[in-house]
Amino acid sequence: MSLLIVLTALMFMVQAALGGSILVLRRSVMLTDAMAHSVLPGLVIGYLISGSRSGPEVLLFAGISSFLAAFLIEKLSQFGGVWFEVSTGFVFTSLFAFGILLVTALGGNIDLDPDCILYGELLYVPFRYSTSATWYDLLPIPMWNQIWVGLAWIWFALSKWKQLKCWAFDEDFSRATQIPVAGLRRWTLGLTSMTIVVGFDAFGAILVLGFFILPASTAWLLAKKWGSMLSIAAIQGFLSVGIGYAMAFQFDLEPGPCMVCISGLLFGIVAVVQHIRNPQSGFRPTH
Amino acid sequence: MIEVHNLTTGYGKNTALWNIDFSIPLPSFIGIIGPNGSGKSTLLKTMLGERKPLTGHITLFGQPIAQVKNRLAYVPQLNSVDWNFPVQVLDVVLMGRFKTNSWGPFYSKEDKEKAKEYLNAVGMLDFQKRQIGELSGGQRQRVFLARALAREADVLLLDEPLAGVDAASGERILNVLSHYQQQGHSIIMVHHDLLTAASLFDHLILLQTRLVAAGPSPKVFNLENLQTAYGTDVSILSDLINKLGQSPNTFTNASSQ
Repeated sequence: MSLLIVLTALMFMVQAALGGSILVLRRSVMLTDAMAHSVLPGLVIGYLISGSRSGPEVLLFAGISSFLAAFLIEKLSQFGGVWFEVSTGFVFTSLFAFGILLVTALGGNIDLDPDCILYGELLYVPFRYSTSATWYDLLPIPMWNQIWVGLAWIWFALSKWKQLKCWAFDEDFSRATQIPVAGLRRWTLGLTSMTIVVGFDAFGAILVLGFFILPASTAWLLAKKWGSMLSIAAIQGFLSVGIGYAMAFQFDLEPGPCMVCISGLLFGIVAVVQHIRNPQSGFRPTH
Repeated sequence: MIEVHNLTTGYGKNTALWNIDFSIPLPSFIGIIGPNGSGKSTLLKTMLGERKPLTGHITLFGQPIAQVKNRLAYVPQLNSVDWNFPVQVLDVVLMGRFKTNSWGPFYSKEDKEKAKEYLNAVGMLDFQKRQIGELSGGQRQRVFLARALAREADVLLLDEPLAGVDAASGERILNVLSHYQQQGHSIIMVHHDLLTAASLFDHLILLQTRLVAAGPSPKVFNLENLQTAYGTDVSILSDLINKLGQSPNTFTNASSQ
């Protein structure tokens, strides 16, 4: 059981390291917060259609809802002339509030607890198997979800490696070099939506954000190359999962929050060490 | 030939340039000059295809810009990127070797050799393993130039490449550009320094949200046109013209004044 929980968390870390690194470097990582909260209406609609809390319809609609939030935020700030923060606050709070209204309006007819969405239920991961009587029953459904989305991220990062690096560094030059900037952004946000959807299932919408930000930010403090940033982010994530789970097991705590606390602690330690080594240059020793 | 026909363009609803019309033969070394807010960078970005014209159009080598984008290379302003980005100098230059059909994380041996060749041309080969943020402003601009050269394009477009650059880097950049032009390529460059503009470019485009003048430098760079564009006191511009008439104005001479 423990192994399945840890493996699920590790697979999520690969996705969060890749997505988080891109979004941290593009300075739009808080978009994941908005996207994570915006899954709620999609989740409810998916549940109403499928009658199940973990069916593919739920993941699909939650993903669409989350992607729609990112799309609306971008378009509102681009064409509506409002600040990015304002459009972010407007879109995700509206979608989240609409989701809560749907849940509460349906009342006893729906077995969907907002607390589970916000805080996740990692400990239940090993108990949620498919009953299709095929090889799909070998692993719990949340693990399969992590595997598919994780593979999609790895394919995306490897195949678009050069474009992603160029876009993340210099958008103007990328456009002039015919790098499909809009397509890269859509793919990044689409995969981020899917990561959030398969992640909130296990960790909850709030902790998902921590996994996007903390490993990638730690890597940003240390890395001098794009490849090493992605690797360090993944390693930081793996360490957080390992140490966090051991801590949860030892002290009988929730594993998800323990992992995020360890991740935050690792970020803090790296930041302080970097600052002591280079007092003149803040946390990142480049200038 | 670069031809601009009745071009009006800007950012969103804000029009920055009105009714621009000119044509300049290529290959040429073209300078875009004008006061702050006159639309210099806007024109450059429209030439790059990054801004869509509200009216009119631009053709390059007789074709619309969209069809010849692969023949353009761009050097953006230094303040357009985050210098804390985790990337080394050689990796930045390799970005210039990107091809639209390339796949996967690796560049070919030829791409790496070309990137080093252009780094060497701008005198930055010894810095290839440095993180980009460790370089000075002038060195960063030289790396950006090497990245654009690595595109091996027919036309190089630069947005104020000498702004915030030390004299040594500025001279190196101009030497490289001069060599590039001698090879039969064209350069279109936004420039803010009137002291060097007339001697540097063989053609000038003088803007003040509208076209003041465009053509061979000696015809464009005169008191009347400059006064129309800058609206400055006649005596200041007269002094400038006289000063330029008295001494051969290389970049080094001008920057030391």
